[in-house]
Amino acid sequence: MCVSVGIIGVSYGAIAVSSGFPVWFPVLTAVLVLAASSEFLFIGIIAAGGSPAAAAAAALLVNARHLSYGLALPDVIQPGWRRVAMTHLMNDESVVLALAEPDPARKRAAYWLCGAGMLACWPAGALAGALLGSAVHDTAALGLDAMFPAVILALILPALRDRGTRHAALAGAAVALATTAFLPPGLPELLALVAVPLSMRRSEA
Amino acid sequence: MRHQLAVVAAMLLLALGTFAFRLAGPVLRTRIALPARAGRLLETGAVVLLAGLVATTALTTDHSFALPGQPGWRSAGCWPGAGHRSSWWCSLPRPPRRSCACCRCDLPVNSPGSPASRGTVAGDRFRRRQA
Repeated sequence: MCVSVGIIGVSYGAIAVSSGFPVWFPVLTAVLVLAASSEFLFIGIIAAGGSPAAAAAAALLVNARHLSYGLALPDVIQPGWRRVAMTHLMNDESVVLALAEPDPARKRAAYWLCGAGMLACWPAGALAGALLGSAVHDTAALGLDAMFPAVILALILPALRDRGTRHAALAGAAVALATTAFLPPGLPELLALVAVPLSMRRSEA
Repeated sequence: MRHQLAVVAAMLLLALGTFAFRLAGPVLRTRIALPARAGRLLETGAVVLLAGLVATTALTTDHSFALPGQPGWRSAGCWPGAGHRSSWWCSLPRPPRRSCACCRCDLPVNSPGSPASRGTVAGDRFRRRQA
């Protein structure tokens, strides 16, 4: 799992550098934020000409899911000094692995192991990608702009198995596409959120 | 430069906010119970946001529709005459091939304004009009 995250990290670093960010930026962001999809969104909106504030707001909205993660695993987060570290290591993968284990001790072990692996692999991949991206002269030839939506699609694919979420995501994508012609960059994605209630109605019906 | 600082500030804000979200869960859990519905709503919101991003980046270029994989939607803002799309990242160091390969001017290859276009029909017409 960490290897695949490292590979996504490579594409993240390369994409960031090819859209004009300096090499250190994706690496620093990878360490400090440590949440892949929100970082892709952040860099994507700024590279498309959106304002930093809009990018931060959209990315924070994506990361709001960590709130529900924290609510889901109270017994895993240990008290004391380790709490800060464990809190920062909370991400999609470590939470999924921890939830899969039956007893608390194994939960914690899985959480630590996966979280630490992520903290190592994600920035390392980003650094490799950033160096690769700045070493290759004609980055357009790598087809990274086509890869960017593909990587994000791969990240959200598991969530799309749910019918309500799938409907809402499709409707949101349609809204974003329809409004992109006359709204400043970054806003169409936020406007896609009007489709969220659709998922609730569908799942209740 | 100011814009670059704003981007770094926004990134730090994102990092801080994300940490706050991570911290809030275990802290809140001991005090209140968030309904499962709200948790689901948050999760769906994240997926919808990302789906919107996939759609706009894959299918549009510079505010209008494009064929997927069409080159240049990202570098479009950096060419002379790009108007409002010309942005701060254009001033960052670019890969050498992006600018004219022959004369190191900042114009794209084969641009009518570049000295390398001397002798070509488009280049001469451009220079006549300038003069």
